[in-house]
Amino acid sequence: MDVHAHELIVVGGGLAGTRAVDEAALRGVDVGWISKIYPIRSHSGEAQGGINAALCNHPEGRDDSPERHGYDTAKGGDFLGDQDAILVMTEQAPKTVREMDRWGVPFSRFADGSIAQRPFGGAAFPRTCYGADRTGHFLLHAVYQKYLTLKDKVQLYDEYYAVGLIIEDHVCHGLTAFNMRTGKLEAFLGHAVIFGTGGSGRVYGRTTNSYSSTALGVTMPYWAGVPIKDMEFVQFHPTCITGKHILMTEGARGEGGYLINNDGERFMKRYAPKAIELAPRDMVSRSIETEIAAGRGIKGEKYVHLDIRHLGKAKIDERLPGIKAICVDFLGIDPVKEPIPIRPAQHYSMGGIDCDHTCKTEVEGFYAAGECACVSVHGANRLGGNSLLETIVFGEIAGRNAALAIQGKGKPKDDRLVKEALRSKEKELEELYNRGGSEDPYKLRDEVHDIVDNKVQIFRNKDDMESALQEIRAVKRRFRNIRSTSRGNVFNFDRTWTLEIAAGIDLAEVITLGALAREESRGAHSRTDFPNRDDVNWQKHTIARFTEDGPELSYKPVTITKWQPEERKY
Amino acid sequence: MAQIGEKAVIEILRYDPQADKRPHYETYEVPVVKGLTVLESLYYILENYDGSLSYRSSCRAAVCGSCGMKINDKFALACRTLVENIKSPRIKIEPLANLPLIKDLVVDMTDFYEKYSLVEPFLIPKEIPPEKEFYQSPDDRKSVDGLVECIMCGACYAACTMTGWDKKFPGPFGMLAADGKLRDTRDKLGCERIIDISGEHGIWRCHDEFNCMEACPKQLSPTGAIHHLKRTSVKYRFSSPKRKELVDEEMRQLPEAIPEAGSARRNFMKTAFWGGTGALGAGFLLLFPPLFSKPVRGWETGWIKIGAVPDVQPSKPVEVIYNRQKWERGRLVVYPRRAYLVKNESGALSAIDPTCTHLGCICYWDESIRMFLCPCHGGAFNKEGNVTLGPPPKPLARLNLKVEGGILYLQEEVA
Repeated sequence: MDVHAHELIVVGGGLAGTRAVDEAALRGVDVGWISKIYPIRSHSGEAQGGINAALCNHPEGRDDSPERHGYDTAKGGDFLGDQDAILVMTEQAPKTVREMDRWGVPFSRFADGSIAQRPFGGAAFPRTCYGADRTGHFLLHAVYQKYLTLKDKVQLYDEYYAVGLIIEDHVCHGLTAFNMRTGKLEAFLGHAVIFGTGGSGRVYGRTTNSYSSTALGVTMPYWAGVPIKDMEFVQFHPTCITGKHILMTEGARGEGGYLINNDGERFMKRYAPKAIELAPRDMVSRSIETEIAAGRGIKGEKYVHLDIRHLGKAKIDERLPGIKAICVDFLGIDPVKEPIPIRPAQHYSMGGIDCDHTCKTEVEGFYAAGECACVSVHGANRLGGNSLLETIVFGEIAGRNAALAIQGKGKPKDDRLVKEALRSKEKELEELYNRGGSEDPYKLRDEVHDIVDNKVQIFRNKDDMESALQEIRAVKRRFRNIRSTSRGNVFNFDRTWTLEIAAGIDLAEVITLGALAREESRGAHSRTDFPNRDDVNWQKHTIARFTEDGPELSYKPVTITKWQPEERKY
Repeated sequence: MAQIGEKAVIEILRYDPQADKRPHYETYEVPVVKGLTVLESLYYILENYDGSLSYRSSCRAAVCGSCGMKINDKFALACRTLVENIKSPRIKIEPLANLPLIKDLVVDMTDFYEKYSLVEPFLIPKEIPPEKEFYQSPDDRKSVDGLVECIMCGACYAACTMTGWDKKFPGPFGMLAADGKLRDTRDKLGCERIIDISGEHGIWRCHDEFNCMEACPKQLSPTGAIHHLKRTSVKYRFSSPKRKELVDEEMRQLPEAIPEAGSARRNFMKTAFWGGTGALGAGFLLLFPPLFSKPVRGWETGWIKIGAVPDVQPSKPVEVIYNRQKWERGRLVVYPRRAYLVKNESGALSAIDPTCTHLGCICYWDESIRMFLCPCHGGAFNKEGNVTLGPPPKPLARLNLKVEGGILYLQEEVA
């Protein structure tokens, strides 16, 4: 029986997970760190544009403040974000960015030597700090490098696949995970578990997310009885290259890029007269889809142009070298000379594991941070530059709170729990791997992708979503009859994908059900049959709990402290 | 070459440690659609033909560095390689070299990450008030461009012959990371970073094959970084890190470089000097305007005044720096040089010239193994200067030494 006991278990090698590990280790806690891919391979590294903080370095941003940053975040989130949590994040932001500077992030600089900031969508002042268009990569490597200095406190279990939480009487005791190198299921005991497992974008087919950003990180706690929140709020990033759905940073528009339709018109002027291209992402995505639906896509096709040619080669090479490389590599076009074909694609889950601004969940000893969590700071729509900020701020908070809660408890030990957990999980996995049926799990996954891509996308309506729900449930039934997975215990990705697909189907059901129930339009959730926001009935969080018969929905009030809901105009 | 609409023939190295005695190749056919990448082909094979195929992947946008592999004998990222751009009729895919194979295209990266950790790639920040960020000029920030974008995909590591040959060599990516921190003006360690990587298994192992640059999917230049480290190493080996400030102070007091070399001494040193005297493996040279109207040729001979006799213990040699002068084209050229003072058991003082008798690199005293080590080819000498290891053909040379009135003088055997 393989048991690894640590004071704290952290799952996830992205920014939130790594920052939590750093924080706990700095506080002297013995950490077991599990990640299904090596930490620096995580999706956080793909973030391009920047991280928001009211540093007031930009000449036009001298009047910026954490409070103003908070207001922009609340308004950008269509007043579904919890305002106490938002202020925790925005007040921490300048300190966080400066700490990252100390940890070695090579931020771009203004002429006076201070950290450079650029304008981003939905922000009143230019407050997005950046390192060229590789901010996520730089941040991820910096927090990983910090871990290298703390190695004696941390045991890294990389390429371990977490599969199940050990929860008893509403207390989390650890989890089970299998070692990819041996295929063997092992148990991890801890006084606390932090999840920083990232987003679940791969529920959708058209997504900017990496292959590793799958549903399991959210579904695993959901299956174990932890409620998940606001899953119907899914952000579609306006500018993703067609076909590959690779992200073109919002920084491209922040630096002055235009969105152009087939008539050569900067159509955003009609939708957001003041902010134009720098309106929040939900609005820009809707506008692009509206243009495409009206036949004004380029050559009548389903895309428009992101044009950065007027910025000039020098500026593009200095500030947007990464997106230039992506265009050359994947589209074979040079954005200095040609406009970039783009269309919105799934990008971010505002929803996630239900927790508050202390990162605590309903289950004692279980914490969540980053995209897998729903604190909720982003409300119904996340502003660009706030996700990197959220991961680091709440990664730190989760690490701190968990460390404080377990101080002096020593290493946990519980043979009975471990035995039970390993036995039941092993049985469950055996059953999943050996169903011997006829259905191909990858075909079922493609079917789910088609359903949510077409029916639970930017514009939603009752009929579409009702049929989507029926179809997803049909797929779920067929999934019980999948073929057996490949044999072999060493790096068996057939098994991991099968697990991920099972999780994806369940999460697609939660998203669809939540979206169908919410009869209003708010942020990224826009219903053509209910086009207006309904603060009286729907200013509340959706909570989904797992039952054998499908998700059970309930609702929870939104914390409003400073800013009363108002109409969003940009 | 597979056209769009046709099928690409993909040959993959397969190995399952539980079932196979040795690796073998298997061939698959994948329909080519526009923009199909090698990584997407692997997914096609996994999902349609053989679920047991193993390979790492994550971002599919050339950022995460997971899918480094050997594609038609070149190291590349699978996600960034378009099938339609591959010229040959078949596509052969193999795992990264220089790392132990685990299964199919998955290699054991433990050593790789361990070596990264060994170069201490983290910033050790200078002190600044906690409520402020560092102030770093855009130009200073620019000096780390091309060093911080590394995605650690392992392509350079697999392509480097020296990495394969010397298991302790950190590899191109590690050197790139080290140079990134060395050049970062926010870092406190500065040239001290070089100490650990300039030994026998460090930067001098690189023999400029440029394989890493060719392989790098991010078009970075580890070779360039290693060159910078070598130059810096030579510069500071000379004076040892502790003496850096002192040397800088000395340099400030010296006259500017000759006018035709331009006003910026740094630039001059970069171009004229490093090109010209690299073979000496030694120090920076400064040119003086002629002091005498009559041009003279050759080395200045005679006794060189060093200063008060340092306190030398028999257990440990003491380093001294002195200037050796030579007349070249009418100018007096100063070569700062290093010597070691050693005392034998009977208390007699002598001076050792640390120039390696193999190819002339400057050796340094390594206290941990109590030997003079050559940074270039692994030569080693004991305290008396006799060869203990490696290729040097004869012992280190000695300098003439005299003490007059408590002042130490050295004299070279000038050829």
